[in-house]
Amino acid sequence: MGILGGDGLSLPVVSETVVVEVELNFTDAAKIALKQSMSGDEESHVLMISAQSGGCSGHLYDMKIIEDPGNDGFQRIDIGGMDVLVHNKDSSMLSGIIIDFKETLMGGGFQIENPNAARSCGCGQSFG
Amino acid sequence: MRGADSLNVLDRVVSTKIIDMPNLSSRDALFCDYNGRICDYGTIYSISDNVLLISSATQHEITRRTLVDGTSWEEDCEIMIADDAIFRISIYPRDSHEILSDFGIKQQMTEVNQLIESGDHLFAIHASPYYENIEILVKSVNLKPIISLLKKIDYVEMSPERWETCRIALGIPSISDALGNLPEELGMGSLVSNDKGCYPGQEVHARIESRGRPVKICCKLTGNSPLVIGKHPTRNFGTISVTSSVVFEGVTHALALLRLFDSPPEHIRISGVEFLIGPIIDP
Repeated sequence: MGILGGDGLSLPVVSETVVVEVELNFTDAAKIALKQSMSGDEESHVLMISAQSGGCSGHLYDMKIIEDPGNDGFQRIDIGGMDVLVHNKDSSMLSGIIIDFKETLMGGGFQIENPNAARSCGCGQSFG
Repeated sequence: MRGADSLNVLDRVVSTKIIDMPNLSSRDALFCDYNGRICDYGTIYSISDNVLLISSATQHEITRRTLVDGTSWEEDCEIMIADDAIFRISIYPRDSHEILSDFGIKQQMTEVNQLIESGDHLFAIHASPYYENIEILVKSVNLKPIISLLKKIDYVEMSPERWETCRIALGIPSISDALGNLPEELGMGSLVSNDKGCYPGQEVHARIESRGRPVKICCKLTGNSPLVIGKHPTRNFGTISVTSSVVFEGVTHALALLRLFDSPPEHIRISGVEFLIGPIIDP
């Protein structure tokens, strides 16, 4: 049974989050780079943008192309015929972000500017 | 916290490396802001795929919110509210083994911060930067019987007011002393893991480590006149911040942040009254 199970213990789960309608801003360079990254899988795959705790400033961005998980809990934004998904729990942190793509020999790739962030780390991956 | 990713979620926000915690173990940890200043501290208990976190009474709601907001949509981790459901009894025993055998535990507890499950209870020898004691984690339904048993074997229940007096007199900082200050200033440097990579406050902690020592440090003050919590101007130390203060049997015990000197004076004069300066860790 143990301390965390059995009779006399029923713990409520914290689930409430602030949900806002997500608006994403992709630069032309970011749209072209996303199209290339999708490499023809636009029908079955989506770009997922999410946030999680960590990094020097408190939160970290994550971007990945994954198989379409459906709409349960997500907001779907059409970017030039490609679907970009943001989970409702991340909506207040990520709405309004500007996604750019920079091609440089060092440190190139997708870059995110977040108007909701009070501060960000020098590496550009952490915000708070 | 329930789910296989619980320890990982927690590890990202604390300054203490906890990802290597074995099952059935406990570890103290600090929560810091991006300036490296303490915003909460607590004890983490790793129990199979669950994590129990007991943090401070004043900051726990903010910490819980940080954990909920910081869990990724794809992580297996649920944050639950265990307020008033699980209690921690801290015991300062005459003999650790004696008290464990009183609870029917035959297993020898030799490792500090190892947890032993017995029925619905968890037992641990807890070591913090300041003291070592026995902890029993119990469900609320079992709290009264356990306290009755402890009283039956001559243990005395300490009131919050009495504990506050003991805490300050012994020089043990609480969250009210720690909040907004750097770990090194509170003698909590051992709870900062400089080898764990990025976490909130990591850049500041790395700079402090390379600098070698903090600028200020929490000290214990003892004197014969009451001392009000707050800022006080002094001649030798500039403006000091008194964070805890209590009068017991006519003697004032207080905790305050003082500037660090190479040869620190033994006394400080505050509003014309002299106080003896001592280290915070004074078992």
